[in-house]
Amino acid sequence: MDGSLDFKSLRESLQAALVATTRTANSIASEDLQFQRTVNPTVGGQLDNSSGRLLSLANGLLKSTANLTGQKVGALEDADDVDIQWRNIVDVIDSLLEKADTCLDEYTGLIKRKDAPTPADQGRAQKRVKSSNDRLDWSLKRANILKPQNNFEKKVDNFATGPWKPLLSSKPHAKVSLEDSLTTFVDDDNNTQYKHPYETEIKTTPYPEHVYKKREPKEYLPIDSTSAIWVDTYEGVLEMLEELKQAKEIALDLEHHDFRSYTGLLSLMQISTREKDWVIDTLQPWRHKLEVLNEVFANPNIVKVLHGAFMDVIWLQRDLGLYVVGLFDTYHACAVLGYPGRSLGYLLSKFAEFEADKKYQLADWRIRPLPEEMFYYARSDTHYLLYIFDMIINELVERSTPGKPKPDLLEQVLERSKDVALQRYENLSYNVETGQGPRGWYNVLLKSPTLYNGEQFAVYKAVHQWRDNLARREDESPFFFMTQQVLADIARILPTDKKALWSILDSNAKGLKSHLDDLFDVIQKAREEGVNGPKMMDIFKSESSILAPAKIAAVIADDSDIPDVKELKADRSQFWGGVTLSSVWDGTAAKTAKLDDVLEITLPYPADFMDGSTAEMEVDQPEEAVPEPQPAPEEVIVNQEFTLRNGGKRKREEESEEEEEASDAEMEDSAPQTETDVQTGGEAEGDDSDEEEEEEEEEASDKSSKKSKKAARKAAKEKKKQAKEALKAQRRAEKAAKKEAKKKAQEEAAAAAKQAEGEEKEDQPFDYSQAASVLRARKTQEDVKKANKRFNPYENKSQGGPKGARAHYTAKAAGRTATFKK
Amino acid sequence: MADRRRINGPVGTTNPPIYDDAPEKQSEGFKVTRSRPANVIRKMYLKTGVTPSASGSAYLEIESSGNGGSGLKLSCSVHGPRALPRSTPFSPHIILSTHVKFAPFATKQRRGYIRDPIERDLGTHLETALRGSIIADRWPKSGVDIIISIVEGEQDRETSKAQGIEAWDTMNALSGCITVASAALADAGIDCVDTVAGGVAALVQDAGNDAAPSIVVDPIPSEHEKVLAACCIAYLPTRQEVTNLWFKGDLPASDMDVYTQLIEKGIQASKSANRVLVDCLNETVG
Repeated sequence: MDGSLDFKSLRESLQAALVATTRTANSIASEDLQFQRTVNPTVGGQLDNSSGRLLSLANGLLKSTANLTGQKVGALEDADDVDIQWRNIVDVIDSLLEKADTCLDEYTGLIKRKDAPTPADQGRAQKRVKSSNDRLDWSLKRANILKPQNNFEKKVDNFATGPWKPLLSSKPHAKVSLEDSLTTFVDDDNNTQYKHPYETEIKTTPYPEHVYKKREPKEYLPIDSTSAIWVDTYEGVLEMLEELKQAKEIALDLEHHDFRSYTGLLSLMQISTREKDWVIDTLQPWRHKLEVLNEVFANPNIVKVLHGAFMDVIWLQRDLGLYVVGLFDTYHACAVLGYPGRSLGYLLSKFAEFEADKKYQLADWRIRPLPEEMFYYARSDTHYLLYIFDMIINELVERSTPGKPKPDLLEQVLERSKDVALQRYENLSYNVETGQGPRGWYNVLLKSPTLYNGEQFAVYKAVHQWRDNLARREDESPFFFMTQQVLADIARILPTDKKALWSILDSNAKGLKSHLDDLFDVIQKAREEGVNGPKMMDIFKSESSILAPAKIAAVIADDSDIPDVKELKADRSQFWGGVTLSSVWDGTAAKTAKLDDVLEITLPYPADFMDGSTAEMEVDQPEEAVPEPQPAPEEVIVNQEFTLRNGGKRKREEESEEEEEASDAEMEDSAPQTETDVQTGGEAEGDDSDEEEEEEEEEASDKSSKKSKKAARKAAKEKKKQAKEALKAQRRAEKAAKKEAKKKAQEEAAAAAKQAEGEEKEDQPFDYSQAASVLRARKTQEDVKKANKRFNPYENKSQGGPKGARAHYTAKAAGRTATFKK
Repeated sequence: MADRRRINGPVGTTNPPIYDDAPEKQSEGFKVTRSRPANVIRKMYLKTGVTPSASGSAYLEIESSGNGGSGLKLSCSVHGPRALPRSTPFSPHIILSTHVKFAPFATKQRRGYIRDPIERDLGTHLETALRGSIIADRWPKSGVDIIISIVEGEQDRETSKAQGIEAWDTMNALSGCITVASAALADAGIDCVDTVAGGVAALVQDAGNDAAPSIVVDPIPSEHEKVLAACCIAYLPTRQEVTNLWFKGDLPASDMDVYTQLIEKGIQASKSANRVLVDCLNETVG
């Protein structure tokens, strides 16, 4: 109440002041200030003072709001600056007004003020951030730092060939002594290799009893309130070792880096017990001393829980000489239990409800000091693993029936874990010619869809070898210099000059710039050698494992095993019998075979059924059932009445007969024809003379000078005309004669036919047994001839094949084009 | 009053036929075995030009083995090449559309009128097989419809259902479909690079002897104890190309040879079918 009143009075006074100021300002503006200044120097001084004061006020206002809103306006030095900076000033004032507006709205309750985030909200937000899969910053992925391997007390030999000797210097928890276990054997590829030093121990030592028992899952400690111990001194390691020896099971995970090192670098090791987490820096120069951890790692009574230990086991022995006896791989547990996901991320979300941000997996783990978020990620990998281990063991025990081989899931997991632990590291050598070996090109090319010719293949091999050698020398990954894609591109494109080669190379392949000439020479040399060299397919064909293409090709060429067509082809359909399937085959059937004189039923019964039925019918009713097979051919011609076949065409047949007769008559009556010819010829001449007269009249009316010439021409024309007319007349006469003869013959024939019909009708009733079949009318010679002229449904098709699509003519809207639409 | 607008059913009642699904007693004691040599396909009856209204057509019949089994009967008609409807976008080559439909009575289990997944599957396989042989860019802006009705589609009515091995029958049907469609395409005068024919080979375990499984062409599932794997191949003999390959079954992953042998035999079966096909087409010309 009080406040609002205050506000009211404050507002009123403010408004009054503002109105007064505006008024004064307007009245001043209407004065001619420039004139006043020159007339009265004191006024000029006052003006300068007040404008300076106003400017400083404006400056102060802008400065204070700049702090508030983050918008910056340069200092105003004179009145012109106001004009110049006007836009910025307006922005500042706008934002001020905006703020005032929202404050007022909040005060009146129109909008709610944003509260400070509560802890519950914070948790959710954190999770969301974690699950976001935004890409890792490049600096965390490919850090440009000094190579830690240069400081190692024991350096790695990148060019080592032959068997890789285990780093082990002492062997705790041994069943077989160190000397006896460092023996060699010959592997499948005929290479001598050292045996796994802990092979006997891993194979024979049973897992501790408690693994097979159901247990109360022990909850992990909250990750936020506890912290992991960073171990980067040897003393720290020994301290940790003492604590680890007390544990029954430990969780273990590793981080690895392989881009800036030829063999790869084990960069970080995380170990967790039920109570504590350790993160161990394995890039210290004294890293080989970490071998003491074998006290725990090779101890079969302490279970080492790892997830997806496939590579971890190899990294451990390669870099630190550590071997794991008593491994439990939760990845294989996932596989055996048939979980939908098998990643650690899945297990973490399933059991610990923790969303791991897997983008750090690809981070550069050599960075020291380790950034906070990477440290957090590394620790979380093992922190929950023992709890997950408890849950998984419980589920495995529940679902296993001990003793029975198949459902004993737990035993399966342990067996697979043992296999994982028995993996050996071998030197990264490869055979240049065959491409076999861990760093060889064989498997890469086998999976790639491209086929290289001799030249390309030679270049591929040469560049691959060159890259490998360079990487070994510089202690970098081969992919650091050139990705597989670039390598394939070089082989495919075969650059002809250095510029082309440079354009193929990756833009960030800085390491290659100094070696460009070298690389180009290698390519040129390989091209020359490879022209007649083996093609890519030749190598694959020669490999025994993929003989298939060559073998199949041999089979393809061989036709001897295929039986003859006659054995493969059935001449008679089991369904249709001998019935021709359509009218196309009618004609050919008639031509080729007259064998089916026997009546056939034109119904689609299977042949077997049909044969049987006819046989039966014959037995029952020998003569009546089977119609006379051969009606006399003359009868068919004379009986012109009912059959479907003849019915439609009777008239035409008659005509043809008559025509024949008529032509006979013509031949006989050749003499009278000449007589008529003479007669009609006379008539024709008469006609002609009429025409002539007319023409002459016309000529007379013309009275032209060329009369004589024309007359001569006319005479010639007339002669021609006469000859023509004579011919015409002859033809006319012939026609007339024909007509007459025809008429006569027709009458005669009609009479004869009538007579015949009458006789037949009187003589006997229609004999169906003698009548021609309607369904299977017999074909006479003429019919066969005509059959070819019948409607041919296939005609369209046979004339030059099918026709392509017609062009579409889309009607255009008249007077309108797309340009002037609207 | 009679209802003239609708087609009404009969007034009286009828009893639907009920088939006894139980296997016959006779078939238990009496086991059919394959009488053909392992590398010979069954006899085939093939005729082109059976449907006058279509631009090309063919009928294929693979005879039954003669011991109660039924064969394969297919009728194929090809319509086109014809202009595509206006609504379809421009196509620089011919658009093949294949429809394979089982007649309702084609198998013991009655088929519905709506296309089921097996029929769709057959259609796609068939399209792939034919696309490799047609010279498609001779007919821009055109389409061709290939319609196959499977009049009878089961090798043996008893065993297929009892053993749940319909897939093998489907494979046989597909090989027939490919051959008959190829004949119909040739009948329609559509330009092809070669005649494509289908063939099936299978790795089978014979009853009685526990010997190693053997490979046969054109298998009839009921003639064998078990079909372990089968492959259906569409093959162009003069170009020596496989246009479609369908492989199914359990095979040891280690033994590469079995895979290749199966494919070899499939090609052989396809070549045999192709001989019949070529002979049939020659008949039309001569």
